[in-house]
Amino acid sequence: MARLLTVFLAVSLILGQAGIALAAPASGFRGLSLSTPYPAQTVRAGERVTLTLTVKNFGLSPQAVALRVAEVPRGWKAAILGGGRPVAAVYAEPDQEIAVSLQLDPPAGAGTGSFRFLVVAQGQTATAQLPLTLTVGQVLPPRLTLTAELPVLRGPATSSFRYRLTVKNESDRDLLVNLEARTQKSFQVTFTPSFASQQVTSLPVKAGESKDIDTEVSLPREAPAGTYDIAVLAAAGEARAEIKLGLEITGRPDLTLTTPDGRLSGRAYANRATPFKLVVKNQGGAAARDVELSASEPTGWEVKFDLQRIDALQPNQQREVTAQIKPGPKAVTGDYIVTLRANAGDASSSADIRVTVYTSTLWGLIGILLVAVALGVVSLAVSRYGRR
Amino acid sequence: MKAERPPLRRREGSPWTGLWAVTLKELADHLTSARMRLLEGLILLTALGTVSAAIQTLRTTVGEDPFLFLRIFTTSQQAGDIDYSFVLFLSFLIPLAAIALGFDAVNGEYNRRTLSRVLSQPIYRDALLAGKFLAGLFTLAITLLALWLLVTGLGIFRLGVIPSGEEVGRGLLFFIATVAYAGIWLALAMLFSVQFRQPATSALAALAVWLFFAVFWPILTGIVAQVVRPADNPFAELAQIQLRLALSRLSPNTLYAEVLLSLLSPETRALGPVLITQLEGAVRGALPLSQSLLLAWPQFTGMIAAVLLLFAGTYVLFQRQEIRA
Repeated sequence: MARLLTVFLAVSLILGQAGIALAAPASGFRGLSLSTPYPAQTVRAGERVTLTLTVKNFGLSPQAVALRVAEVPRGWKAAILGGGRPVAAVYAEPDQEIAVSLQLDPPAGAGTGSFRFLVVAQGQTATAQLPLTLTVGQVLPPRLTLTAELPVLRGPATSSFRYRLTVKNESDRDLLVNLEARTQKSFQVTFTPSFASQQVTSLPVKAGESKDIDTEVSLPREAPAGTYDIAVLAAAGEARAEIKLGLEITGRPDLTLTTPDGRLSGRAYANRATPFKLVVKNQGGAAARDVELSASEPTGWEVKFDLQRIDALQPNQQREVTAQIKPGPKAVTGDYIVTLRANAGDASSSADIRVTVYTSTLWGLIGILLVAVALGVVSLAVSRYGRR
Repeated sequence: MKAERPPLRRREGSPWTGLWAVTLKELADHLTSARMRLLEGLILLTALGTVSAAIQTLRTTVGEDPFLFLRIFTTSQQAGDIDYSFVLFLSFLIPLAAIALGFDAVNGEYNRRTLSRVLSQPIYRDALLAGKFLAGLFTLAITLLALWLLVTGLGIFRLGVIPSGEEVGRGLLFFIATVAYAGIWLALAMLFSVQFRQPATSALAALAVWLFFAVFWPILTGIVAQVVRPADNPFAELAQIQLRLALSRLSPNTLYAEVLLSLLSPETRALGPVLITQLEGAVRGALPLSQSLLLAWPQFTGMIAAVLLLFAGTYVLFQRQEIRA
């Protein structure tokens, strides 16, 4: 029985619409018309629906037209408003149209489904009917969406992680979208609209449009290798969208070259090799491979390492290396800078060692010998020529 | 059986006998003599003048310097066309003072006819000569020590800074080097006073030697080096410079100047030409005292040896002389 009624109503709806659609452009049409741009709509549950109704008088004498909602589903409240007040009739001059709004309030517990309404305009000589169908949506239509071009990035802690996010406003209103990121405390997330330089925390998105946001994550240098999640939340009123971004930090070796006690100076005698103890440390998050030791020394100097190359240096591991620094035979007494370097591909470290060149004290002995000879000459003269 | 050889003439008695008596007596004579007072006044005046001017310059220009006290000695001022500093004046006045003390040491005794009277006392000849030399040296040393203390005290008073240990060490070595430099001229003046009977001649001879080394020797070394090693390529040029340096080091003035440069300017790293390749990677910095001393050690010991050899020559000359005139 109910099914039969539905079919009948649907047929009448189609006929009614067709009648209006056909009648409106016809020049010879006389009578009343009652119309609305979208007679069948899908709406959100629990939302008040406001429709604009237009009453037009086609070639009839001026008359008052009574308006009423003839059919209302159970629980729904219907009201016709004109000029802000509830109205029951409009006055239609010939060939004039009057707009009123129809307010439909659903009941508190209205379920989903299709609801039919019938609005009737009753003039003195003519009548017009307008059937309406509201379909209450089953799920909440998403109003904001957030998508990422590349949702998972990977790189060393020192690189920059930049995600291109797109926030789309899928509602019928302009929204001010607030952006928020939830992640590790030490991570810093900044949002910058594409092709802009200012960082933002919120940005307006027009109805139906989308905006690109560059999201950059800066990490502390010492962030340990691993996978991290970043949740980015876009919210505008009750509309919200969330996306999970992945961030994978690959470890990277970080070498330090220093001495066991941190002292970067020492003495060396000209043309004599002096050992300098060095420590190569890996303070990064990954092993350093093929660490090569080298030096840039002044011309004529020689620097030799007892270990020219370290095959692998695990994180937080250190190796002692001895460098034999031999100043050139013609090195001038005083301070020189010798730069020692540890290099493992992308990681390298250098240490400037201040070498104070000392002169051998051999020449000092020769000088003393000279004085001794002179003293010998004096004493020889005294013993040879001493007389009263 | 061995043939009986005539025994070597052996000396009898210690050469030290009477040495201190002569030294103290001569010292007293020197310290009270008008000649010495004149010289002391001259040295004091120039020293005070240069040092106060140097301190004035330091107070206005130098912000921070680890060797502020050494700068007192070396900072030079402009006066008209000449630059002058404390060490420059000292290197001029020291030879004059030493010559003034030594030029009539022996021939003055002859002329006063007191030599045989002195030697009739239980004093050996060597003691007389050594005593006279030591007395001259002590006189100069006392003057220089007083001068050094005065300058340092003036520095503390005017600059309000206390000299560091290294500065004191360098100052003391500077003092010793100055005494050795004075000893050379004293020994030379005494050599001439033994050689020449007239004090005027010996004074003139000593002054001539001083003038020769101070004025003509630098010119001569340049000419000789140019003639012996003409500079037609960079290596020859280097050889020429080295020859010139070696020749000029025969002069006690050069030796003393190099010792001062090394001791009073701790930044000095080499005395002589340095190739640019030797300075690759070098950084500015002061040498430790031991290294500065080692740098100037040949010059330092050379000066001391020169004093000893000059004294030995004087001694031999004096001992072989007939003094009963």
